[in-house]
Amino acid sequence: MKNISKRSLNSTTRYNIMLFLVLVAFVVLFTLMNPKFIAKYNIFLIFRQNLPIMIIACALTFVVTSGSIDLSVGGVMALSAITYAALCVKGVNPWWAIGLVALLGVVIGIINTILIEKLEIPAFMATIAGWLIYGGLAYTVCGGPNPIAKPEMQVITILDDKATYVGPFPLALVIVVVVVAIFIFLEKKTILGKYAIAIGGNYNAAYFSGINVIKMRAIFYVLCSVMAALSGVWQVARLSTADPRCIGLGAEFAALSACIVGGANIKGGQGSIIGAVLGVLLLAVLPNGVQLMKSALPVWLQWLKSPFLPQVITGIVLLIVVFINYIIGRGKHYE
Amino acid sequence: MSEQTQNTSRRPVLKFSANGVQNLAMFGILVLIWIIGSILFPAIFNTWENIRNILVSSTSVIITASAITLVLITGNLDLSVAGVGAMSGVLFGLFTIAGLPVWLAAIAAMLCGAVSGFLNGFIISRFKQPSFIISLVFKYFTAGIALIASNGQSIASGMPGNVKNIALTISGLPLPIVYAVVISLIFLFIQNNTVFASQAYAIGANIKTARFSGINTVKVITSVFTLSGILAAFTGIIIVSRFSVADCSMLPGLETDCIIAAVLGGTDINGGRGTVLGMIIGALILFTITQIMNFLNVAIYDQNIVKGVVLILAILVNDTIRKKIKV
Amino acid sequence: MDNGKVLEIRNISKHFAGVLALNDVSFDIVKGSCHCLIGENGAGKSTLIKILTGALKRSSGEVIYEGKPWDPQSTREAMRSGIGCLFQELNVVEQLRVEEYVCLGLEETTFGIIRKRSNTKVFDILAKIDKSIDPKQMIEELSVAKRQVVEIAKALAMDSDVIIMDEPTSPLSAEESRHLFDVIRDLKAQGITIIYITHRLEEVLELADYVTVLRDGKHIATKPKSEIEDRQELIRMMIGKNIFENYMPNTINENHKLIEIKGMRNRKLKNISFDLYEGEILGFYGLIGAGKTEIARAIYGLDPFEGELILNGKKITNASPQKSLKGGVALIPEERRTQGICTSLSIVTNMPMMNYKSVSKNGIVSNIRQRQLAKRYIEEIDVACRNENQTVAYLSGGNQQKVIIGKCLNVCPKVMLLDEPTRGIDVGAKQEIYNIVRKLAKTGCSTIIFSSELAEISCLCDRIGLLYEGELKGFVSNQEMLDSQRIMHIVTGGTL
Repeated sequence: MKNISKRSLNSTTRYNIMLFLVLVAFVVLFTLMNPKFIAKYNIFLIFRQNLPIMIIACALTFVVTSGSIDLSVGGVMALSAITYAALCVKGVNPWWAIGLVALLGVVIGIINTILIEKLEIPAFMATIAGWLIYGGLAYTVCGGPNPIAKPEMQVITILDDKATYVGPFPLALVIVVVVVAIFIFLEKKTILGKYAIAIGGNYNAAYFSGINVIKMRAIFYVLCSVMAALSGVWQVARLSTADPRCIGLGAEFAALSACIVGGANIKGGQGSIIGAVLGVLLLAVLPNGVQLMKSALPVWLQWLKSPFLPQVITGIVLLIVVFINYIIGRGKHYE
Repeated sequence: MSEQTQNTSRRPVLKFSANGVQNLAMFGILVLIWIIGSILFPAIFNTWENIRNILVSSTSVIITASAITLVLITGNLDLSVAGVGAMSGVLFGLFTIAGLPVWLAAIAAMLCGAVSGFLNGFIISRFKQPSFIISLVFKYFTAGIALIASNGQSIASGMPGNVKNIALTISGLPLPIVYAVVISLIFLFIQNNTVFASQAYAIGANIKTARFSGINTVKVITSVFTLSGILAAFTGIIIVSRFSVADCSMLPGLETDCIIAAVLGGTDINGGRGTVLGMIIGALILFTITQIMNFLNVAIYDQNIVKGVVLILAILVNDTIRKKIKV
Repeated sequence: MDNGKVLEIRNISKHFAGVLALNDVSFDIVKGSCHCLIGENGAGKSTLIKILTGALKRSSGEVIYEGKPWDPQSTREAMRSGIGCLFQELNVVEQLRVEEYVCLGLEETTFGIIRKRSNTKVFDILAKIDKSIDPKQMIEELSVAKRQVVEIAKALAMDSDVIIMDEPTSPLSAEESRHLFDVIRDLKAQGITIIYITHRLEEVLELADYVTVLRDGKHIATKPKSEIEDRQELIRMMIGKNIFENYMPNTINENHKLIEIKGMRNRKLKNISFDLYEGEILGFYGLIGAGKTEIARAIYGLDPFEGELILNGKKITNASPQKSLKGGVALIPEERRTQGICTSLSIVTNMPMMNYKSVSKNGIVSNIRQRQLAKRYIEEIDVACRNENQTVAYLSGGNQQKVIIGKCLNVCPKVMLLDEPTRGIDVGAKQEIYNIVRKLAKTGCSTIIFSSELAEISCLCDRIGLLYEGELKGFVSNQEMLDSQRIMHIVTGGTL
């Protein structure tokens, strides 16, 4: 008979556990420095602010694991947010508007597939161009850099997180848990997760096994754009305004970094949803905790309070992760 | 010396003449666009003032993309230039406020750009990491430094008057244009005539073969990124000088503009192909189109849409040309 | 064992520009047998396999698989139609579990959701061939030997009746090889046919039910094991009668050692020591995995090693390609397209790559000198091209190799290392390259040729080192190479 119980944990699980421990360590550290860190308000705030990045990072994990990339998510977020707000202002039922915006995400995902897989434009270039185009369209829809914040918008703010709770939990937390659960299901119980790993890990294996690579990548790109679209809607609901100048700014970098910190290999073949979520949490917790350390900071560290802190911290963590992976020889290298 | 070689030694030949066809085609497109502009706006388009304006607005891209072209030729990407430019511009402003003479402040700021580029290139080449992730990280590092150093505010006051001198207009000719011309000519020479550039082409075409042939890939790649950092810094300094304001968001979209200019000019994203001359023509095409859009009162954000479409079209056209023309 | 024929190979020929890789090859493969395919390098084994797996199209002839014409339009079609292949580069996906990989593409799904039942098939397949592999284990944790078994399981899962194995024991230890043989016997018991390519004649004698020998693209013989006497007979068939023409001894200056190597060892090499004299053409002969490329790479500075390397009297530490080139050692690498030239660039651009000093001064390249350099070598080495601006990708293999030779000659080398210099090159170009090597020796530039072609080594080299599995078995003189029986015996594992 087989000795399954004595199996040691595989490398992805081990990495995720380490990531989790690092996250816990920082949470403990920050709580010690300022007990307000672990207050309900703060924890819920972290989830509210980072819901967009979390759900995008889930979908982006599939894309990156399959060896590709999607940098247009920031632009898609902006365009969806503005479109949603514009539709609501025009009197469309907000739930229908959400559906239409999701459809927009599907269309954009298909466009990405055509550009990258059929026309063979390098994914990086095609999605950067997409980012420019969709971001620009966002401005066009709202007629310039004019945020939409009309009274009609009140209707849609039933989604306003501060007021909406499901039991003791804020809506944001519930949505995150549900979406992550769905993605984990997709990853482990359907072909999506395994095919992504096969396509990114060994293209020949995927090819010989008869996997339709274009179809799979299409699914991944569409999921990514739809998540970006829905998170645009969320931002509008949360902020009660749709400002094309700042919705979705830096989203692609944040989501991509979360995936990489979560263990995804940019060359493909490796990545996990749980890792991405832990990555988002870590990259969100760090600047949040630092900001709360107000009294404990010496003068020369006061610059840590700057609003650009999240990106700088993300950069530092990314470099650390990249180095650690290099040293332990994990994943595929560039030749 | 045989007769054959005697004949060739009389005729100086421009290297990479397969690119010559592409550059000629792009120049034709530039002329075409110019004609369209002249037809649409007969009164204002064909003036020296208009030409000067287009040239001045393209200086940032032409200067930075001179080095970016080399980076792309090695098969890498440098997405950090906007951040490096902002950082160096802000630091330049701060240095002058702190009392440093303008020329020293400029050199110090360019040194900072060089350091950023050096680290960027070194990490990419020594540890064999993907360039777009590492350079993206450096983009945020340098942008963060800019933000922190300036406390998020524009630095407008406190800079000595002669800061303006860097971007002076002397008898109708703005100095930035002179800088752009000089620098692009220098890099044109480098790209066309140096061992360094030949090695860059080899690395972009096939990095394994380059290593087997004894080329020091770490040295070459680190150098192109360092050059990119220096030129990006210089661009930032020029902007500060032109407007006497140092601000973190001084150079929005610089990296995408540079890439578009280079790709329009025939540079292959995968490396091994591309010329500075092509990049110059590409930059001129880009900024002429931009000027036409300005005259048409097309808003900036809509111009971005056009830029995105141009980028995609440029890549597709490049691919098609490469597949059809076999030398 | 079912005595029906599963594969009939009828008059298969394959042309590549100017080279006849397979010449009217015909033989049958019996169902449920282990059929070994042997022959020297360049005999045509891999070409035949590529035709069977759909990677190449045959030029003429036909293949009959289970009574029907076999003409796959792609490798994917071939794999899914019953002929599976265990490549030397395994296609396993490290981040999947064994069962996930074996079932890849074959899962039973409803709207994409995998049903549990599909895994039982995997359990059965694995249980039949190797009970010690846990289907839930991650492939990245498995050794190469176990990964091979997983690949075999995948081929079975795709309903392959024929499994081709190309030098499968190369990366395996003796014990792992034994285990693989057990697996093969199990497969045969299930009616699966194995086509087994190897150069290890001991394995052939142990495993084979039938043996096919190819030589120079021709089918020499197919015999059942019962009719084979011993390894010597196999060797005789592999080599045939070799007429070693054209060898002319070189003037060797025994007082001047260009290279001294003492105790070179690394992951793949075991204690190599030898000297290279001025004016000499030295050869290293051995079959796949013998260590030839490893020695070349170590001398050139691409791979680290322990031991001493002395170039022209100077001890070299931390060897690198730059140091080697400066010291006058140039390498013509094994894979010309990916290591020797930049295929997307022109001849002019490729030529000075190893020594830019020859066309430049103070870092500034003279375009005129670069063009002259390319033209000079095109003429001297007779590179067939339209002009010096032609992209190297469009040259034939032989001419590409000549460009690489030009690159090396441009360094004014004292030592040239040639790794499989004429693999896949037409006969005419081969001779031209041999003449270049001979001319070099006369000018005092010594050459080391690493090759698995007996005829090539014998017509050029004064002294030949025989390699087997990373070990230097000994040196023989050119005269002794005439005893090809003995030579083959040594490089397939026998004693000197």
